Amino acid sequence: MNQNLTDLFRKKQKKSEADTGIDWDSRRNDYLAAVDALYKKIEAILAEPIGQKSLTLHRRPKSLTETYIGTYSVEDLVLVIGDEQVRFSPRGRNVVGAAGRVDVIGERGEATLVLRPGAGWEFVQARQPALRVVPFDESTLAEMLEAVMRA
Amino acid sequence: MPVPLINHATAEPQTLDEIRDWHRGIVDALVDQRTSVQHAIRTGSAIAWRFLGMTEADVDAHYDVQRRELDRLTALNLVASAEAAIKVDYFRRVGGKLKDPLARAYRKFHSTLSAKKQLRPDFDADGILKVLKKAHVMDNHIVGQYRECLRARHWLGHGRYWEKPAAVDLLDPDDVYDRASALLQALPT
Repeated sequence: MNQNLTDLFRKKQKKSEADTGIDWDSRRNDYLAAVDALYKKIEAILAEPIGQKSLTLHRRPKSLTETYIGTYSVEDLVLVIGDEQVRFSPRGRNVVGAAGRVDVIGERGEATLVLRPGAGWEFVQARQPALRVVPFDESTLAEMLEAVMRA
Repeated sequence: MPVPLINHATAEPQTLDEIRDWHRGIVDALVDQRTSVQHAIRTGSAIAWRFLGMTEADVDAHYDVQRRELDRLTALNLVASAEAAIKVDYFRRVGGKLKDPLARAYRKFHSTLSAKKQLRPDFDADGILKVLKKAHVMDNHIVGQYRECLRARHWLGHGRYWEKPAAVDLLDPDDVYDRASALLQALPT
């Protein structure tokens, strides 16, 4: 490779390491732990209907690739309710204004959960006319499922 | 022959260079903002709430759309600016009774128009550009190159409700600037 290019890349790499010092592995691991905690919370909220077999849950592995972090394994959480499915699908750790995101994909629509530092998982209830974000709990799970599932 | 009043006190004509400078300034601002949002993903720094939850790919897609829209509106503005300059030149030649070949051709065309059309003559196929082309005062290729921009200009300027002309995606602001500029510079003095 041209020496100037080699020097340029080396200089940029050094500056980046000095400027950021971000531990990307740690960020990935924190995100994966938070996703697992989210799924456990959903399983706890839905324990009763699961026990009554009115819905089933299963996890499905997939891989995510992100800049700086690389490729890693994560799981989708799939809710099967009658003849309909809702999938909780991690979109990545590196998102704007949050420490991770999980999309909720139904047969009628999609919703977004974001992991806010200090606040935990939150449901993006509306983006227009103004952004409205609410904590993720039993009532917002119900609201979210109603929004993404067939009427 | 009646011609409309030009040079209104409230008119705000823009030159091609003014529009190009504005475009470059906004491109710089978009590049800065994209960088700042991508930086916020890495560092967690505060950023406008509307970007919440966007991944790097989302941010790139968002700014690609912003850039495409900026380029389209700039192209529209450039074509319209040249159209205005040509119309002002047309009315100057018709109303000023100039003796050059283009002025004569314009006046001959103008005399065939209804009173209403004399105030708002057609511009493209059956209008001023057609007369300009037939007058052979410049390379017809220059007129043709500019006319190729008009279909995109109409689509953008009238609400984009019909099938998108290929020119919309083929012409960037630099192309449109070059074509419009070549036409204006080729007009006889």
